[in-house]
Amino acid sequence: MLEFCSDRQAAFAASYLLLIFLISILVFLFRGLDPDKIDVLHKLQPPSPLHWFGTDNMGRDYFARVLYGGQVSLLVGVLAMLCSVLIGVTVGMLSGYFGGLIDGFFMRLVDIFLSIPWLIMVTVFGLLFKKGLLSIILVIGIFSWMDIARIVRSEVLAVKGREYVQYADFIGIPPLSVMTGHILPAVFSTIITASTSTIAGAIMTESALSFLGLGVQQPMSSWGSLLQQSQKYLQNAPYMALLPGILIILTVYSFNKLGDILRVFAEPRVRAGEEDMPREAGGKSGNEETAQEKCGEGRAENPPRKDKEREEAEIPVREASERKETEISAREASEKRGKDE
Amino acid sequence: MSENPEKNIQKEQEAEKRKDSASSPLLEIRGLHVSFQSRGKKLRAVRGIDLKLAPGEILGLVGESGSGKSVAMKAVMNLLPENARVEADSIHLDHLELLSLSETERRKLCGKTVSMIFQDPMTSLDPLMNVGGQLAEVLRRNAALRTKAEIRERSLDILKKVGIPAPEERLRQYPHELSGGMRQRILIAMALCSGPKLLIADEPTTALDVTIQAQILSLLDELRKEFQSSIILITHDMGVVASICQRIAILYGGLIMESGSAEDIFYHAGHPYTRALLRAVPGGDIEEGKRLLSIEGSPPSLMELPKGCPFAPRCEKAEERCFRELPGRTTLGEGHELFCHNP
Amino acid sequence: MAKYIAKRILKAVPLLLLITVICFVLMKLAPYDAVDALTRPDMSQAEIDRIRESYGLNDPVAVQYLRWLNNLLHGNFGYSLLSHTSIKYDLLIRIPNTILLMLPSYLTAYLLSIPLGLLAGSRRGKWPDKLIDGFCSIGIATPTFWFAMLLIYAFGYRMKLLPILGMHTVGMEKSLPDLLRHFLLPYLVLIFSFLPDLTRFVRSSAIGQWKEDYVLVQKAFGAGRSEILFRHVARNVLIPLITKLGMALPLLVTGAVITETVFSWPGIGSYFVKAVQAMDYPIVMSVLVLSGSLVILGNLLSDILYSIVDPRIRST
Repeated sequence: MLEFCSDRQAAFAASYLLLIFLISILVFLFRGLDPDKIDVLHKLQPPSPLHWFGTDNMGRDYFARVLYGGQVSLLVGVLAMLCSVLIGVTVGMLSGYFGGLIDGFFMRLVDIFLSIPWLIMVTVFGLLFKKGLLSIILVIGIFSWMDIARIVRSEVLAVKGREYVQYADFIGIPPLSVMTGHILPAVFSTIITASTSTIAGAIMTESALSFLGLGVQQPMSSWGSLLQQSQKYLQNAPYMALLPGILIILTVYSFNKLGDILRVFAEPRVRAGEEDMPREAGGKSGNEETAQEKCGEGRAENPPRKDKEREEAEIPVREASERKETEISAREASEKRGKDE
Repeated sequence: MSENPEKNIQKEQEAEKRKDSASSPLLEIRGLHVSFQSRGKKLRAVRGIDLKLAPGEILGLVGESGSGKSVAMKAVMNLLPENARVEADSIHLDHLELLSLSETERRKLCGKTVSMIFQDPMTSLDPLMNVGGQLAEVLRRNAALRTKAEIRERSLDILKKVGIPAPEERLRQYPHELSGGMRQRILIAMALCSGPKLLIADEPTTALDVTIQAQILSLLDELRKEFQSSIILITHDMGVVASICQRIAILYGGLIMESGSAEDIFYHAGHPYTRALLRAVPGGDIEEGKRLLSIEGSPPSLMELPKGCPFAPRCEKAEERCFRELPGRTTLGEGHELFCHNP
Repeated sequence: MAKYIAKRILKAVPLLLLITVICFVLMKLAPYDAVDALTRPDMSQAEIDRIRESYGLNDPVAVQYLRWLNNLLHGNFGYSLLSHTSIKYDLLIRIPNTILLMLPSYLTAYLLSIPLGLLAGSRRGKWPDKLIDGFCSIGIATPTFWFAMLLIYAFGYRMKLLPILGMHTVGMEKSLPDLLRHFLLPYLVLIFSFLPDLTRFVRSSAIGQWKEDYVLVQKAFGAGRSEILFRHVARNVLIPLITKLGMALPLLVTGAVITETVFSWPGIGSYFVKAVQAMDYPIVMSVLVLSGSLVILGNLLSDILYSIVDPRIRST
């Protein structure tokens, strides 16, 4: 935790997210803030002490609208993330655990879902559902589970090889219990890490959809739909475009940052690597290795793996960053949401 | 006229140096410490080792993973990552004090005076450049060759020397088209093309098949004779050491446990760790027919090194003192040194 | 190499078919009756049925699919349900507009990302890296349309320097300077939307390469940092970047949906969004098929490029 706090960006991201979530949840406590109070006499007013961020085209207090919009954006982000984690974890677990045909099928599916430009896909799928918050959440969820599925699958493959899982299989515990009882806890931290960047992606997607008029519909508003409305008044009321945009950037940035940090700190493998560094450096099954294996049998039939005697001290750091790097590419797609492409 | 006396003094000093060189070591390391800073934790990989290497000698540096053998040699080459901190009383190489040289000067020694080859020949060559290109680059830099014809001639020559068949064809090939043994030979060729005085070989045979291992080792030995280089062979394999090394240093927990001639180590081993290592060698001519013995326990964590002898927790002869204080140097014979309270 | 390419092409064909099937099924699943878009409320049921029949909407799904596929192969994308114009004709007008916008933007971002990413990746943790990576983090978190709005406000409304809508000023359709003035803002927006991602890619690829064993070996043979960077690392970084080039092919057509919409650029993106809003399903389906096929073709292209550049594949 100490290192976590010493990273200023991470500390900023965490405290910002805490703040924005608290505000979104507790916003109803502020009596004075009514996002729907129409006051046509004072429409499109610039920021003033009475209306911190001015008023919109119908004289509604923009500050209140932005805060309530944040509620919707964050809600969509979190629920879409849950939806995508649910699909992703299920697919990843099934793929990794059973392998073979099931794996082949799901991984092709992932390839196809990943290859078609996301905006086109999401829009087309959006046509299939009735307009509404739930369908936005579902559509975003349905199109953002692929990275999680891939990451979970590879984790499951790694965990599956461990002895306690093989033992559980051996003594006849049914696959479902093995998966939920033994594999799920082991890949849990990975899921948490991946889900933070999924929230970021979902918020981006929602804002883009709403901006195109395909997402959140009036009278409900999110940051994206606020931006869409502000487009019309850009010339006279540019402040209307400023606040929602900045909040989107800060939120998405913070979630991505949090994901980066969690990836390094919550990774059990990295942590373990730090604690027994020299053993870890020697190979994966460090604890059981004896001097005889290492010092005497260099010429034995198994040519040692590449990492056998790598740079002793550097290894843990290196592994951590390598994981990060590979996962960045797996995460690219989720980060790209809200961008063109 | 006033400059003359100074010049004379300089000349005298140089002459003295030359006189020394016949007997003085090629490489002399005194009090080398290397530590790594990793996420606020300090990891001490090398904790004060002394090493001497005579010209033309092959020294075997033996130890388990994490014993600091590879780190120590990378410190000499200045190849450690940025989070490493190297401290030493002196690192003397070929009459130069490396610690007083600049980064650039030290880099220029690499490949010329001292070269290094590594464990995994599969990943040690640039996959996108053909062998000829990679050799040419090294030749241009370290052997000061300019024309294409010169470079080609020298490349072919050196490839033949390291025992590569059909060298013309090899020059055009890319690393992935060659076998592991072949690549290691090419790396050796690249390391040797400037005729370095010292070659550091970091587990050069670990990633190779058993039959190729022996070939590469004997190639190193031949080349040492031909180029009159010294070699430091880093390995965890006592068998490899036995086959070509003249002197051996055993490392454990960032410290030298025992050093001496091959005969000292193999037949008059003083340190319990050395003896345990020898018992763990499969086959060979030492204690043939006996069951292999492994050393109980595992090497110490470099994060939390014990106060006393690092081997004490696994040592069968350890007593209370071993856990309390580091053992000092004991000289058993000419060049045979030992660090143990209770040999 | 020829064998490798042939194999790739053979693999691409079934995928292409699969994409068309998926597209078709998706559109059939839509809970809207396609005929609604053709009819007026005052039409009688008989008239509606006649329209339904004449558009082939009563045939079995498989027949509809095959007819549609056959039409596709002949370049016949059908007609817009609303305006009854030929989609093929619409696409032919709009695709060049999108390419005109996308190609320069993507290439600029691509070429900028190489030095930026190499610089950041080679100076990891130092200030150039912090600066570039910070820019990437913020760039990735910035919605394209928001950045577009900023530019529109600054250059269009405040400074009144640049036009903010369309491709041409009315009456100046042939003027190149006019086109360039319209082009500039969406061009900047698109660069900004592609650059962070590409730079990140180059950066992480460069970081990975610096950790490779051959870098250490080169150092041990006395090579300096810049020598290693330009002669070895850069080449190894550029190879995976080439695959990005192939994958960018679909972007040429559907890459600028948001930007085109914001700037009313008459390209495929804005065409698509309008069609979606109007539920003009033949258009949506055409664009979907187009982008899906381009994805497959783009992957094929990057495989081929890869096989030309990478000796490890070239020789097999």
